[in-house]
Amino acid sequence: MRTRWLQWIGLGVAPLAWALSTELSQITPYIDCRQNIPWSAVFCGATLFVSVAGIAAARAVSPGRVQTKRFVVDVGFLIALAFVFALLLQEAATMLLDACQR
Amino acid sequence: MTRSKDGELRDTALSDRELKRALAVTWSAPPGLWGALSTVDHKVIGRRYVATAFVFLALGGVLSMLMRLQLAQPEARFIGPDRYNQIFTMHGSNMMFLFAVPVMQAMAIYFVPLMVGTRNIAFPRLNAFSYWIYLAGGLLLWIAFVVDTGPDVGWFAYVPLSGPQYGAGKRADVWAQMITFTEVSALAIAVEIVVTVFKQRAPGMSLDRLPLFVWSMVVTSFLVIMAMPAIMIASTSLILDRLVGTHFFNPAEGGDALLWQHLFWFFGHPEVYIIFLPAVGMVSTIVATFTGRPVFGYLATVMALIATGILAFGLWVHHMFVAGLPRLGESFFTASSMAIAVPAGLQIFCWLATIWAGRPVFKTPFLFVIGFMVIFVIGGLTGVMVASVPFDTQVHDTYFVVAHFHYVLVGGAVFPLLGAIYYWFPKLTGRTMSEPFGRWVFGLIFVGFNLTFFPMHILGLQGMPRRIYTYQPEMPWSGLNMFISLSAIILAAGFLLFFIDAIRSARSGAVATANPWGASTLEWATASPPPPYNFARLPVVDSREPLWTEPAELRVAAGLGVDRRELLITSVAEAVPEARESSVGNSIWPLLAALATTVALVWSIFSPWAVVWGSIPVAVSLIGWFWPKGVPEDES
Repeated sequence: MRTRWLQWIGLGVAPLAWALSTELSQITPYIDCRQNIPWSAVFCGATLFVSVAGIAAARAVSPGRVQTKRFVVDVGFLIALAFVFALLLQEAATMLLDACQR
Repeated sequence: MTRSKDGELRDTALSDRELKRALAVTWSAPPGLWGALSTVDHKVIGRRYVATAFVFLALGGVLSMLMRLQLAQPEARFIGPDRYNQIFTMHGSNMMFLFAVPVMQAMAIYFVPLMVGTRNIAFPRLNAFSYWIYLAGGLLLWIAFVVDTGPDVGWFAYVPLSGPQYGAGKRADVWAQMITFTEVSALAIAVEIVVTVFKQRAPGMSLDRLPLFVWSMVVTSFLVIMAMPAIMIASTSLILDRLVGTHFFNPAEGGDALLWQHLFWFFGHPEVYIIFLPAVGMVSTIVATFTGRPVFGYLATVMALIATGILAFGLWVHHMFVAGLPRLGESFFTASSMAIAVPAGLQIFCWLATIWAGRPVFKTPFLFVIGFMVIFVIGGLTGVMVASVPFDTQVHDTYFVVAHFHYVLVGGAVFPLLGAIYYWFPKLTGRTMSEPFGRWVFGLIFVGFNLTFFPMHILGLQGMPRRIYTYQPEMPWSGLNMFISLSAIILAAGFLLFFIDAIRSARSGAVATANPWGASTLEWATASPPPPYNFARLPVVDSREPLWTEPAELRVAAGLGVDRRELLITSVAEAVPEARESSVGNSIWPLLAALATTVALVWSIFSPWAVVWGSIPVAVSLIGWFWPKGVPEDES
């Protein structure tokens, strides 16, 4: 039962983390600018960490001999990698740009 | 002929000939006009959708030629500014909402049930309804244009231009209500495709054996389901602002004009991928067939489809880089826009590797795929350019952007679509299109397209803005504009030849065999065109390329009833048979429901009371539609 749920983790966690980070990017720059605290970098870093943890969990799943399950796990892993790359780029942006710049 | 214990007639009791005769009786539509109006056969409806969408393509093409005629020379007086505003709005709205999305979904309506080995699409009456409502939306837009009430606010209808303060008359309302028609239609199809793919696949067709075109349509359908409600909410709010005086988009009363842009582009960017992802499936299918080998990197291609589909929802702000949002927030969307190049590039490399390792046969469908790769890569590269905020700020609203999105949309979707039409035409009509004609069509369209749209990059870099009806002779744009307009004639000639070839071939083309290309997927396992029941006996699948691994004869499922329209329901992941399910018969109610909905929606452009009174005939038609017929729904 546990692995049945875990096989979808690669497909779910990283995209959700990226979606959260992208949504927060519409809110946090205003707070960053006002309080002079890099919340955007913190939140983006946190979602990046969660995504990497999701990848690790996805790789830990043993798909067994069921071909479809192996397929789902592998697709999820590759998708998670793509979203970790997107989050890395977003994290880099938080370090390069001034939150007050319009 | 022996019946089972419960009195049902099963396929196991019949010889092949008897079975086909019995299935034809059960699944056929009545002859004549009544049959045509009441049919729920996915193939008939799919063909109608494709034909109607291509009519809209031709109409949109005529509009583009009118624009090129106007822009060929500076200070031309062929079209006035008001009509020009209507024409470019009509061109964009028509191509996006009446051609590009519907035609891709139409291909899915026709081919997905065949490719997954079932007898009809899920919710067949909803499918019929979706076509009628789409047709009504298209007619609304074009009739409005003919009577000089065509929308003139751009295909994105930004407020406040489209709001009550500046958008006088009913032009913006027509646009907004056309959105309702087409999005209802698209959402209906999306739900049908998802259910068909997840619950009606042939036994053995597990998720890792799905044809790539089917994968692409599943992802596309989820995009439709998640993206289109945003634009329906936006367009309905706009109508409310205009008709009943709400202030959703009026900053003076607490509304927000920028909200429109967010809602529109939250739909509008995924819309690009709603058009592009089916093309990925088409290209993958054509590449596999014409190289004679499975697509290299099936897993990577599926991953790319899903990742692209999800990333598509995080790019919308890159259409709003000059709207004054914080640069840091914008940069997150730049990051996602750059990241989406990874799965897109991965797909290209998978196809190149397939071609490299296979033995390519350069028939017309494959030529269009080659053309697609060249043009789409150029469009993708300029996409990476405009994903950069500083560059986008410079070229925003210039012809550079016009060039970019035509490279992406025409290169990324129309080229694969034309290739797909040449490829699947034998299945659609039972006849093949002309190969010599096809090569001419490809040559004219490829050359004409590049000569028409590549110079627009230069025009954009020279500062020529979009959506202007004329320009002064002092500007350095006239030479290139004349060149572009002349090149557009080559492009138009290519499309004209395509239409001639399609009509001629449908009537008198060479008769096609069941599998003329030697392809691997299930739609080629039945006759061309397929009978009303698709497959006499439902196939059982053991591999990703069933017709290549079992070319002699596919294993088949047995035990389905033939007295009623019956389908096999299978499990989501492994496609293990779970139940026999009935599929509804022909009905006139979807048409009547669409007519009632059309009256209500068109009336509501003029009066809010239409929502109240118009809902009565809609309710009556839905009661008729769903009225129990006394036939057991499920005897599984």
